Amino acid sequence: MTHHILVTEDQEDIRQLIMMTLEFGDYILHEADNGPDAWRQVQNIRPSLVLLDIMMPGGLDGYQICEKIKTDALLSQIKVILLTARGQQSDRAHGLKMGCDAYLVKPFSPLELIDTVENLLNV
Amino acid sequence: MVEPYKPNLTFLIFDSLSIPLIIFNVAGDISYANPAAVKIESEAVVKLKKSAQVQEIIKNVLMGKLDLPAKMDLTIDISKSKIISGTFVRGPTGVDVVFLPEESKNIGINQELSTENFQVDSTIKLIQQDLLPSVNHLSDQIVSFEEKSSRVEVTDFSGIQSAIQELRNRLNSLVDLTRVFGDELKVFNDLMIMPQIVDSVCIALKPLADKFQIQLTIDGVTRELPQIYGNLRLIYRAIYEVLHHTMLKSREGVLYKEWMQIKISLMTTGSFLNISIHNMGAVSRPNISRDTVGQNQSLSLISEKVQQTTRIGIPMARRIIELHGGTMKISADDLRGSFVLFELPTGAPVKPAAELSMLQAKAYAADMSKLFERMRKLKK
Repeated sequence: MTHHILVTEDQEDIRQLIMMTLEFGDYILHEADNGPDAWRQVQNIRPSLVLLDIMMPGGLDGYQICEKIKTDALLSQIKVILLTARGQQSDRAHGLKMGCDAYLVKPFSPLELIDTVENLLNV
Repeated sequence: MVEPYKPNLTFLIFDSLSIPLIIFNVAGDISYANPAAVKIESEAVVKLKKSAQVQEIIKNVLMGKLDLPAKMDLTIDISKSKIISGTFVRGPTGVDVVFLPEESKNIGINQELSTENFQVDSTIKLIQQDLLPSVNHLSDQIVSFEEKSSRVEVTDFSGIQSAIQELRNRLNSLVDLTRVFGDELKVFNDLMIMPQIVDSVCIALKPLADKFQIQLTIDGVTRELPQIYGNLRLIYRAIYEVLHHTMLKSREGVLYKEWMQIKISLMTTGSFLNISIHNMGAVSRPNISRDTVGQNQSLSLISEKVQQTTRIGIPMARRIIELHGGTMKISADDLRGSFVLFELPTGAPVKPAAELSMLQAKAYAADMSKLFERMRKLKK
């Protein structure tokens, strides 16, 4: 089975790095650079996994999208990885409270990213 | 009988300012120079101690021939044609006169203050208006305590404790104000859940609300409200100061028996989170009477308290909101009461994107060989 992955990150260079990293695997990649677009794609594509930057423009941040996914019966199976530049314990705790499956702090290692994705998708 | 030592708290505050400030007494002598003045304008402090020019200026002020504030050039050293420019403003006691050297514009907090039309003389005015009532209140409490304790054994210290607490709050406001305008607290890293912050502020101000018979209501709190990123302590401070100000203002000229209502609303508009603090007026309309102030004994109690309305809090709150990329608007009319609106940008704060990209690139570079190794294995 080929998994769909949505990469949501407003910083284009970092988004491209993530896309490049995940291209090594057998995934169909989608991208979004703001919260509302990400939420729209989540509903339309229903990917297996979403990488969500916490801080995004558009009035809908990573935490909120994560919570929307995890509280929607049709979408709650989607795995969510939160990406953040914030490493504080309170932010991590908040992310876990919103139901995220993993939490990566920038700058993250590409190997750490691949391992996390593979673990969550059981590939 | 020896008078107990009472430190002059206003001067303690002036001591903490980084703005040079020299105070002249009615005789034209220097009665006080703060450490910043001693450090930065040391020559002026020495030379102006007994200056005929200053004595003449003070005399003219006292005789009403010279209006304050007044910009002046003071001669420091005739032989070297050395002068110091500055502004004379009215002093903290009303009879003394403060001299603010112009050079102070180039240092510390004043640089920010002046760019924001927040002048030094307005700082002095704010300190006078904001702190002196608290200082006087504490002083009155101490005098009353001394008088009472000379007659009977006094065990109730609550009046003094409350006055000290009030003064401490005011001093904290001043310290925060100085820091905010001095850009010391530009840390925008906290995740802020506004309903929780608003709730905390309301809880903190609940005792005052009960005392003043003000009903605080919060409207629009939903889980859909976006998060804000910024300095949690400062945002709390801004909301606290504005709500506190609104509470005190709401009771001006209003009969004590009336319960007032202040509504705090939160809502999202586009990419902004709006927080409004609205003084709705009396809960049971329409018995608000501004004409009856002073006719009822209980009203004087209210008036005394209202005089303690903070003035430092409002410019500080505005500055805090501006530092977070937002705006603060205040409007008031007799029909709608007062209305304060905060607009705070939601979502990501301005991130140090270039720095983050650089760090991310370094992380990738460090693992690149392992990444290619893995890719080679996958291809096999």
